[in-house]
Amino acid sequence: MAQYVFPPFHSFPPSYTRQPVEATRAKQTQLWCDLIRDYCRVHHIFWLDVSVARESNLFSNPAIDRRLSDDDVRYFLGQLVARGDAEWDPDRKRCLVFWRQPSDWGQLIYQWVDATGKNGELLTVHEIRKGSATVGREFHGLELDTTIRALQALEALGKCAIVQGDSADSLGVKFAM
Amino acid sequence: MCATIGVDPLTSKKGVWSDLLGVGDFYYELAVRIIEICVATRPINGGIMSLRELLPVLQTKRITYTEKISSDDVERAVAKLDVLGSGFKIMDVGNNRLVRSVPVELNPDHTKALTACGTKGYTNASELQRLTNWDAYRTRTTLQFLLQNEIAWLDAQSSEPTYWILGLVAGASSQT
Repeated sequence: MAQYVFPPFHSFPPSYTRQPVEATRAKQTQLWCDLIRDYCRVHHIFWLDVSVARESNLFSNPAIDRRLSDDDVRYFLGQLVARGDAEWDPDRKRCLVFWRQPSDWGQLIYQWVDATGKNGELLTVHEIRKGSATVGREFHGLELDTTIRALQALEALGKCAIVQGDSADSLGVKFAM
Repeated sequence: MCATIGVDPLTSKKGVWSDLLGVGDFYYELAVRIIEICVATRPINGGIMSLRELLPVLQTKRITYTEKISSDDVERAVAKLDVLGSGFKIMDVGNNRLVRSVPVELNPDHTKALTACGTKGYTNASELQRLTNWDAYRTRTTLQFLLQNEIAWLDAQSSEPTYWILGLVAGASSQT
């Protein structure tokens, strides 16, 4: 896995203190949000577990002996959710990070469907995520929750219809022509 | 970006600037680049940027000219900008030469606090008091001013609250 190079911001001690001045905090929030999103992209993280992330080098920098407090980790993740780049789990213990927007994932899936002529066929969500036909595609192995949101985004555009199955992974989906 | 200061250097060869400032294309472009960089990094450094930090960014940003830019060139370009009343100014603070791109008035106390930050880029109340013999109130107001004007960032995780001037910290401006 590619080694992620942290931006200079990650090695400034004041980055780890929630700034008291609003304008500065707004900038700080943007920097943290971008950092979390990019970090998740590089490490292919979909569900960011708060307790795991807290211990990782994302939210701390041993070289300068600074770490974000639990409170601030939640604050910046909350801001990431607020700007639409993530979604909280109902119990707020983890965060579904959209380093690629669900609608963009949806586009990728739809392009594959279109290119392989699967329009009109009933596919299971499992087939799309784990099926041998999608090996090598960017969305192969995509987190279930992200896949569902991607398909919902497509459904909203009228490009597919989601068919209820017995469990989440046995959901079916039928793509429009 | 240029719209903010009311000129369009791309369309007006002989425009407001050349009439007003009488500068050639070199300082013309240099000034525009300086404004661009200062404005782009303002959220990080609050509009205070050391020349030492500005020069390398400036060198990589320029397209038309390839000559090496000296700090003297920057000073000249910034001096021309003064006519526009946009708040651009070169300040000497201790060992640092700074470009100030916000119309915030720094009084001698603020300047002393910036001097205390030196090239390391940060200071705290006790260091500032030791250097200036100020009382606690004066020290606090000065540091608060820098914080409120987005020039300083607070680090509350060291033994004493530390005030960082990111415009003086190496590499900080490459963030944006």
